[in-house]
Amino acid sequence: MSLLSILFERKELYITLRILRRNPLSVIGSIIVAIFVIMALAAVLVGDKVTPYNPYEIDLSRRLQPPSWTHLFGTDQLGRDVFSRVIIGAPIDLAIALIVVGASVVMGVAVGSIAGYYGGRFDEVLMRITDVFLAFPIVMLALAVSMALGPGIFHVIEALIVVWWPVYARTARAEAMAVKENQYIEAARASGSSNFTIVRNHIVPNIISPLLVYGTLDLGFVILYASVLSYLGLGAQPPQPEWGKMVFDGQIFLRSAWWVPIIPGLIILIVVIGFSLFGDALRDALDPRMRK
Amino acid sequence: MSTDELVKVEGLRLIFETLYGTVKALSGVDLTIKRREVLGLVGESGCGKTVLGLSIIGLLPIPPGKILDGKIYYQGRNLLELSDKDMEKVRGTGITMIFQEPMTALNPVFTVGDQITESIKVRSERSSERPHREKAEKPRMRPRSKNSWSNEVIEALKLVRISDPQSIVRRYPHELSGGMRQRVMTAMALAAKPSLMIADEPTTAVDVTTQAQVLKLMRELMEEVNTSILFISHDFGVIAEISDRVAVMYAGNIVEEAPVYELFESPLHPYTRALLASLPSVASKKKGLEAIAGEVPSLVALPPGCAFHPRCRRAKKECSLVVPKLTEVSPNHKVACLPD
Amino acid sequence: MGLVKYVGRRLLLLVPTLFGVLLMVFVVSRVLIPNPARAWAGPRADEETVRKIGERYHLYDPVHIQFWYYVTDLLRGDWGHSPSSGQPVLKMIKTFFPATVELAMAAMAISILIGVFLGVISAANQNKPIDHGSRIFALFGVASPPFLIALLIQLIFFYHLQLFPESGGRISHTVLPPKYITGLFLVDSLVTGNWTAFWNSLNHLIMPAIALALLYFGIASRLTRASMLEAMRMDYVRMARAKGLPRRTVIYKHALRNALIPTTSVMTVMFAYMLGGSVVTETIFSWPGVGRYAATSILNLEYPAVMGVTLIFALSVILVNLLADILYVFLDPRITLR
Repeated sequence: MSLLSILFERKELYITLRILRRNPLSVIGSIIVAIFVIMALAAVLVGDKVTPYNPYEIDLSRRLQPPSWTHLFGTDQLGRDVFSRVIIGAPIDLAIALIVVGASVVMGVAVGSIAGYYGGRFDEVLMRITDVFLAFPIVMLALAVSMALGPGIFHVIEALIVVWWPVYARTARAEAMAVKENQYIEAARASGSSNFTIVRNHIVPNIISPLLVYGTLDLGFVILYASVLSYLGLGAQPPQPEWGKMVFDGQIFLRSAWWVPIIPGLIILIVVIGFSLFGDALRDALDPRMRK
Repeated sequence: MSTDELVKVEGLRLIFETLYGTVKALSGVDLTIKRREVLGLVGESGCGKTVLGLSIIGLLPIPPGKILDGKIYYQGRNLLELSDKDMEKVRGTGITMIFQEPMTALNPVFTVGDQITESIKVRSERSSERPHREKAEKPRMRPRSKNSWSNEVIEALKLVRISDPQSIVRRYPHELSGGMRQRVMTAMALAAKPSLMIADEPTTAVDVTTQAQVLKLMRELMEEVNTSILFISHDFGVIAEISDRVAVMYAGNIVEEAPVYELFESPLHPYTRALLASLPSVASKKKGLEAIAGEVPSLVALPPGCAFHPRCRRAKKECSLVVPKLTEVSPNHKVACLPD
Repeated sequence: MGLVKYVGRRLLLLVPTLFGVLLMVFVVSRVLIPNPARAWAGPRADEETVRKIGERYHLYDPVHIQFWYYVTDLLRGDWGHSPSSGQPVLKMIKTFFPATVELAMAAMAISILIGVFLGVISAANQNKPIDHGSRIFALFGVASPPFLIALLIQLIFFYHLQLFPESGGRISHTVLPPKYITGLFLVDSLVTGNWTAFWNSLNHLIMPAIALALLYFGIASRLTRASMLEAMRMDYVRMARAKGLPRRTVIYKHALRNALIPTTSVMTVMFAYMLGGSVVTETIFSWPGVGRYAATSILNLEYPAVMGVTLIFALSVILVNLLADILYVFLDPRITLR
């Protein structure tokens, strides 16, 4: 079942929506994702005006105030409104997630489709290479690469791409191997298409769809790892309000002002859950078995 | 129920709720299985034969499936009214089932001996509960060390004509050939000495020579072990070979039921006739293969009245209004068709 | 004997992966860093020291020569020195390693026990409330940032409920650690009969282990559930029911035994995740393990330490994968020792 066919054929779209609607969790997931994306877009397009307070303004007289009607999430140790900072922090993580997943899909499809289709030496080499990448715990490798490259969000993005793409390459390879067995590939070859054309016209379009679904689920996890890297001090630099960094900065106040570290952490949790539910539901809806 | 009737299905109606609509899998099925007989259940793929078999043994997945109406009598009880636990007790020693693909029906992580021992244990546990039932002695279950199995297991393997049971018994399913697995599966089913064995397409996945062996074996076993067999298949030739009586199914209904020779000599239902006419062996006497006009109806959208009437040469106006009931028109020969 | 050959062959297959791992760490630690000599010497070193470090580790040489010295240095046990304290990195890793092993093993054990248990219950009661509940619980675990769980546990159990000792570390200051045999406090204290040390260590271990386990038990339970559902759809389950076996036996004997096979292989992946998760968890609970060492090294810009930990983690993962491969042989009779 192709994501593209879902979008373009009314009957398929209808069935997909029916399946999605059946499951209340998927509705919740979709709502969370929607809110997150809107929040991020608003923060980027409109800037500070969308937030109730200026997220960078320091006012030590208002520091460490608990959540209230005036400050929904309270204020942090420098008197900044946590709610505003959370909103402004959204586009950072969304951007990281989109770039990392996007690049991983592209790299993964490029390498994996060739490996899966051609097989042989190239495939062996690819498997070995991904084995090496997968031997490292994700966090650790991302840490090391990010640290080596230096501070800053772009280096975090690069580090995450390095860590992320092997899984996509493997998935793309597996899908390509499955598609390769189909009859129309033989037909295409019999009618004289070159291997490269076949890969480009037949293999890639068919494996893109499941990878995109997988990528949607993954967006949340990239955000998770990006926040961990920021928590550990890599990536976002002050005063950028990246959620993970906000947790780290606030954790000394865990006892006295729990909202400062905990709330950004909860926000991350909610966003990741949202993407997870949404991605799961999407995958279930596209599963041919469910559609029977 | 008369004494020679083992299982009697009455008016069974069954549906599946799917995303595409309600599938009417069984629309009022009447079927009788007698003692010491092989009843062949034949029909095209999708006509409901497997579903019927699963319903009898109570293994139909109930959330998508739903029984609307009907009764299944076994030993005087309506199986559909039994609780899950009680139905469990019927399975194994009363009614059992073997499946099309022996490789997937055998658990890959347990040895052949282990899996047959399970069946034997089921029987021994039940016979100890109701001592008046089994006059045969309980099999003695010795505590088993790693590579020894009780005599009963060996006997079960010998029953299905396996020549070297001692070595087979410790093997895992993937180490055996297809035909061997078929026999092991049959041994497993019969080790509990059931009254009825439902065989769902047991010859479909095997080659022709093995097929002949399997059929011969089953007939012999039926006699030796006193087990009736409900033999489900889409292959008319196989059905003809093994059955005592045959029931023909179409789109969720039994359309004809007769002793095997009579069915082939004088088929009464238009569908049966058309089926037999389209068989290669019969057609070789005529000019060519005759396909039946039209298509099997989707079980979501059945035609009104008799399900076969759109394709039937003898269809009358009434055929689209009334669903014909299976009635006995001559001794032991039942048809579901409106008389001319 | 087949087993020895099997292990031998598996080890041989590992060689390219091992080489790749070494190469990867080499690239990250030398090639990617803009000024490796400066990085190795630390931000406070003067130019003279930077040059000396660069020469000692051959950081100015061509790449392939560097790699040669890199590997030989590693094998000799010279994994670099901390710029600030001068301590050899390998020695520090050795000191902290047992703590992380103990934490990871405890977390794995908890994860597996709860995860598999919940997964089986979920599959057996598909779509009933307990199934939904455990799936949601698992989802929260997987989606949680590690720092959130650790902080929440600290907040609730340490501060508010006062259930566990607030002092971090593996054992209270007032209690003597057990005699060093394996480095795992629980094991060592049991073996030497040192009950005070045992209970005290256990007390300190429980919360960080649960924090780490909560993150990943979701993977175990989701996978067990999926494998069980898959197994329960199989024909051999239908056959088992047709034989008249009670539902319990069918689930816990036939289905579970098969479901454990794919579950085991994922556990090994989980181990890799756990090592990664230990970085944050150890930091928050002040657990003196390799993970915390890595985290503090990042803050202090100690490059050799971070690279060393990265390497040791990768080696551990490879080792655990090998063990899992061997375990597989015992679980699945279809695998031949060929």
